[in-house]
Amino acid sequence: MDVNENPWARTEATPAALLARAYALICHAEEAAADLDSLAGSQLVVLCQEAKGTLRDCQAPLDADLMSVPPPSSDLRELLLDADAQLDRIPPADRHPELLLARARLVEAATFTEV
Amino acid sequence: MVTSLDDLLTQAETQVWAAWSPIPSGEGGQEIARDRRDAAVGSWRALRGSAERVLVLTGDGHRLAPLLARLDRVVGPAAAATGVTLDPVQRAASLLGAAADALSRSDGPRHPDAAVENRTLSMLSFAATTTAAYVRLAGDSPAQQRLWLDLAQAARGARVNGEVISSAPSARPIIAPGDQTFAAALVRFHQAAWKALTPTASPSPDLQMIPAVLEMLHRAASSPGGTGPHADAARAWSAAARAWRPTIHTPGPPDHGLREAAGALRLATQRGMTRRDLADARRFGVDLAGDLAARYDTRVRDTIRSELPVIAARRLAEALRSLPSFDGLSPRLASAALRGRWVPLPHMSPPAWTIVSTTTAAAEVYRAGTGSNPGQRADNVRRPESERRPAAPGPRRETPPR
Repeated sequence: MDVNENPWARTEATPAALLARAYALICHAEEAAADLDSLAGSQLVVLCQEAKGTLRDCQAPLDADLMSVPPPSSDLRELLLDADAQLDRIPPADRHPELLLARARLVEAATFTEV
Repeated sequence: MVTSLDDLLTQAETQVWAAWSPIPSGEGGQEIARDRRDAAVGSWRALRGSAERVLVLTGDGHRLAPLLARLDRVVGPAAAATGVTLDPVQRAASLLGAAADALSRSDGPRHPDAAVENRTLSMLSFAATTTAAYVRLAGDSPAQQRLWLDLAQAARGARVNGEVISSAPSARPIIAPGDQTFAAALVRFHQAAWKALTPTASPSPDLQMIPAVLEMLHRAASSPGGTGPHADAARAWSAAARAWRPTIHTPGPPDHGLREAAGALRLATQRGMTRRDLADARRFGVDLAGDLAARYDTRVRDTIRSELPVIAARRLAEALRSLPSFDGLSPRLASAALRGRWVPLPHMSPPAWTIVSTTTAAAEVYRAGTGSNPGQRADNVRRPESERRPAAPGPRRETPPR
């Protein structure tokens, strides 16, 4: 990748690319949650780690560029909803059964976020 | 066309997947949420019936009994009242019913089928989470929300993830399978974390949950107010957890037991902690957390020294450039950075030093000073036999760079 290229500008929409984006978005959401410096923030950090673990179970690729470069939004709730939206774009035939659990954690995080 | 049990489950999952769509914020949002809540709750009667049939045919009845009892308690009164249903969930229930029919008609003796059981439990967990979300967005009471969230956690926790408890059966604290109290969650987490920290050739990436959970527990223990020794410990663990993120990770096998135990404890802290729960959290922070911290510290040192973690090459290049002694990147690292690759984390690099030093600092919190929590061990706290472990690991084999 060109060092000046923004990895978030990529438009690839294969299941692997969508999983990688979702994983990276959760990583950045985890950072945003840690920045809250509160009990709610630390609960969200754990919830993000649960979701990441489930995505790893689903063979989500870990994209070093996406994880190194901040995404367009830094809003915690937007990051979580965007991660869920990425998973929602994966065609049904390509969805790993465990993805339901990852989504459950994202829905929980986005809905029960007290920030 | 449906051709197999696997296809039926896949189609059911696709339907359950569609049970959630975000509610638009602003005017009218709560009304939409109320409609979805009523429909979601109303669909549970059919979903429970079909899922129960599949679970009874494929799962371990003894292990699933607490979940099935909870399903009866939560779903029974709620589902009868609404009179409306959510189409995708109704379709999922029909597909699961067909799966149960197929299972009951198949020849030969019944065998537990962990894959079918886990997939069914995942569907229940997702459906319960989305119901909880609609209940919350509709403005219902926290108690109503908790009913569904606890059901989601119970379904997740009932999945077949392998043996978690490592101590001798006779020495285990007695915890009922369906016990979702804070104290039970705390014991389960401690057991799972202790087991996860057993040295292996390939540590799990889920080990990073340990500092995050310890931070969360100390934050809970420091409330209200967020000051005092527990707050100091929380900050120390926050730094130790942050040292890994977001571009360093350890490739390795999952530790589902640790992940589930951490998730259950997280939910227990969100449930609204009683005074007794807070006392348990503080006691844990004073007593057992120190042993766990020392074990985690040793494990992290071993992992870093063995250069098992990997780092985004781009991040490593940035870290090296900031060193006064920097005299250019190796061609290999420069190439890896350009290609967006992961590279082994050198144990003498700044990110590795940060991980080791912050982890050691967090573990030192429990050894520091006297007369203060959590620096002082509460030796008068009675611990279960299985929790009495050797206190600290052996002498340090590596000194963190300053």
